[in-house]
Amino acid sequence: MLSEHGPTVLSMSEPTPSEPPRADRPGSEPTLSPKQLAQAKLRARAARIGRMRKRVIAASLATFVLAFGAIAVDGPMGATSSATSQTSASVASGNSTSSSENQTNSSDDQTTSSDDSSSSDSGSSSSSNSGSSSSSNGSGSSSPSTVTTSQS
Amino acid sequence: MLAAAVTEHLFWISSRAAGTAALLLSSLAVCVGLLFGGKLVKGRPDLRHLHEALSLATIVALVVHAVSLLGDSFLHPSLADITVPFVSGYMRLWTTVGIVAGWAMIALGLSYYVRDRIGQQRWKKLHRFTALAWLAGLAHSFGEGTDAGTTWFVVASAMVVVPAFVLLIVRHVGPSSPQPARQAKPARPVAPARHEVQARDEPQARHEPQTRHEPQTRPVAHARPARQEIVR
Repeated sequence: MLSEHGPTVLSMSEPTPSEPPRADRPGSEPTLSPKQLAQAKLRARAARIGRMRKRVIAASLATFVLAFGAIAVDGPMGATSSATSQTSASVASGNSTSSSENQTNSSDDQTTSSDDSSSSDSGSSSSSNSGSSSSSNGSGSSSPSTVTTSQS
Repeated sequence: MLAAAVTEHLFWISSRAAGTAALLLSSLAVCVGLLFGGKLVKGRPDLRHLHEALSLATIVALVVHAVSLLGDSFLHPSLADITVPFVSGYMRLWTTVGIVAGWAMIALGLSYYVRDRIGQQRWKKLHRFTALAWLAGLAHSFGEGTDAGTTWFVVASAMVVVPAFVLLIVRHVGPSSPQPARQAKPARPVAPARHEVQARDEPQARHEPQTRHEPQTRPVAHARPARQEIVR
């Protein structure tokens, strides 16, 4: 298959008229006959092609392994699952935030009612209410307890 | 946890990874094929062997992509689902596009080894449809692929798909060099007959003198000047 289109040994071993026979040079390094030279060239070419094929196989395996790793890290459902999980996570966190806000509001209401009952520092409790309503995360829920502690 | 998920979905993940590898390898094979087929790179005879190796690797990856789906416990497709178009009920259009593209790639790729039977010119014309099969595979990847929306897949695909697209456009829009070379080929054996018809219709437009008597069965080499005259 590989040697179909390449130069054959027969065609390469034919002496060309422009090349003088190298065996006549006594001072030069030991030379190869044209047939041996052609065989050496063919061997080098086959080795080069073999190396290239091994590199392609290695690159293919590396691509497969990298893709496998990326998919395994992403999850079995790919982008769909990650997007869905992100959406569900955000929905869940939104619910928890709103519930905590509700709890915060209710506790604030309780705090306000207790402040009303004690009828002192209503301004500070209202300022803590505004602070907890402006913060949408759960960290704002600590401010009423702080207010309660300061009041107590 | 990761190992458990991989073990549970081993065939599914393997199929997706093999599909990704097939897309990347086929894009590289298209790039290399267009580079040496369009005479854009000269003096690199090894590119043909690189193209061949990449094509064979693509075919192997395609087979792994399809066969590993058979082991998936969730989708659980039959052999007909993954080999026959319009059979699978899962995203029927994109699955059919992928099946057709896969079969076309395998058939067109392996036709290289029987091109002597097909004929070189006919095989070259046939081989151009590989680009269509590659485009169909690309559509299948981005239309049905589970990882089509992930960043790593888009980046990795763009690195090899965009150059292949550019080379494909350059090849089809740019000047086609093989056409003049095809006209310069020696005349077919039917040329003497056409030449004789031309000589009968236009007896004054000959290069040879009128007094020269030509034999009835003229050799092919003698008919070449008249053939070139007709082409001109």
